[in-house]
Amino acid sequence: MESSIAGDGNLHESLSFAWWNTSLSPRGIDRVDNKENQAIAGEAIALMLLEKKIDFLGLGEVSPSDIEYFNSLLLHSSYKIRECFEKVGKGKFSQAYIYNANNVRILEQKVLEYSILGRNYRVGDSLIISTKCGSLINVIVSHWPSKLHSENDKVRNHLASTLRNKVHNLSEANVVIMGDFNAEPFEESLSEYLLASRDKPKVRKKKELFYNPFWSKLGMSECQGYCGSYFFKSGMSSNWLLFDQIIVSSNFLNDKGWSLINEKSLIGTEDILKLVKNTKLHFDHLPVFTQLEKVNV
Amino acid sequence: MFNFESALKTGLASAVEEANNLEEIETVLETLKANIESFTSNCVSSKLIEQTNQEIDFSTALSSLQGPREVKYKSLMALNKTGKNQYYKELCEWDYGSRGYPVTLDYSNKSIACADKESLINALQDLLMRPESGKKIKFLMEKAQE
Repeated sequence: MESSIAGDGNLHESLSFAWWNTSLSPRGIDRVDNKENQAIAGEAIALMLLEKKIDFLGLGEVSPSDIEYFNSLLLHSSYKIRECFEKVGKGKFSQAYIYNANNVRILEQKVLEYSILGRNYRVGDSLIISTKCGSLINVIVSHWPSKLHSENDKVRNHLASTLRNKVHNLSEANVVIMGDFNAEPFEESLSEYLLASRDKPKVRKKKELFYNPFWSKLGMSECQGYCGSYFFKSGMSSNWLLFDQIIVSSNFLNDKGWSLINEKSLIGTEDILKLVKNTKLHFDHLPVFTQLEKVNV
Repeated sequence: MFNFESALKTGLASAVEEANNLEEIETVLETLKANIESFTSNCVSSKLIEQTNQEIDFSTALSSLQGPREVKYKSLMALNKTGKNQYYKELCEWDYGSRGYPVTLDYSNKSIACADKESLINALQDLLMRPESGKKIKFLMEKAQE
């Protein structure tokens, strides 16, 4: 969270969010050669936190031993870690959150599940965070089931509906949804069930819609290095897919209170792009970022 | 030329589906109640009741300075059937979906949306197996003896 007096004479505060599917420990289970990847990921995370001044970073595919290692790296910093390894059916959550305790506090945490025909699925982990200035934001961190099984396509739709239903009073709520949805912005689950739109003026008017700034990231990056957040080497027409996104409620488009800074909704860092392109390592996702700003007149 | 027959047909089918689902959910609740009563030798029972929460909920808190407002919600409660005083203990919050399902249970920092009978039964079993639920049933069994 940064504060600065801008040219307009008002105090501007900003809050930075990020998500990274680390690919370190799928399903929360350590890989055999985890130590090397853990050290590389730790360095990448530390750099990201410092350079991008991240206040809240969601991490996917991590294990308790990964968190123990990251904790040791952050021991003397203002960053704290909250983990989520809750069991869900035969699987479990495998995510964690690194947050700058000087700027945000986590007040509540609740896991959201969906169950059909006796099978349980992870909808997300819902956190209520408070900012330094006392605002409350509902941050929901999700990692939805993969595309490897076609039956998951329908499941993701149900997960999106369940997530929508869990947000009370959507028109008034400050909600940030981040994660690896295993779906691109245009897919049914996100666009028709979660109702995460690309159309800012429409979302301003229809407060039941979410705004997904990552619609605008479909296409080649300026550096020509990537065109998505997930590198899939066996992709038919593209090796990149945009599965990782940060989506916000319409309240952040009001220009009152906290507002989304559209140009700060970004994919990747140069360092992590190098890791993803190194086929000897396990990394296959780029992190995604966004930023909120509050103007105190 | 237009007509509303198709819309009427859909509406009727939805109403029938909802009624069937609610009936099915009711049988699950009845079985739960019967099992709690027989397990506790008729000391403790369960029922769904509507509650009003005056505290600040997520949505009001998020909507800045509007202050607390009344939030109505359903709870699955356990209660003692005998004893000097009657006590109620909330086992979980309960929310019906638009067609009866999904039924959403909120308990122990978890919220689970159950899309069908099998999932609902599994979730209720998970709820009853938790130590928090055991403590509440034990408390009510003791109060039933007073």
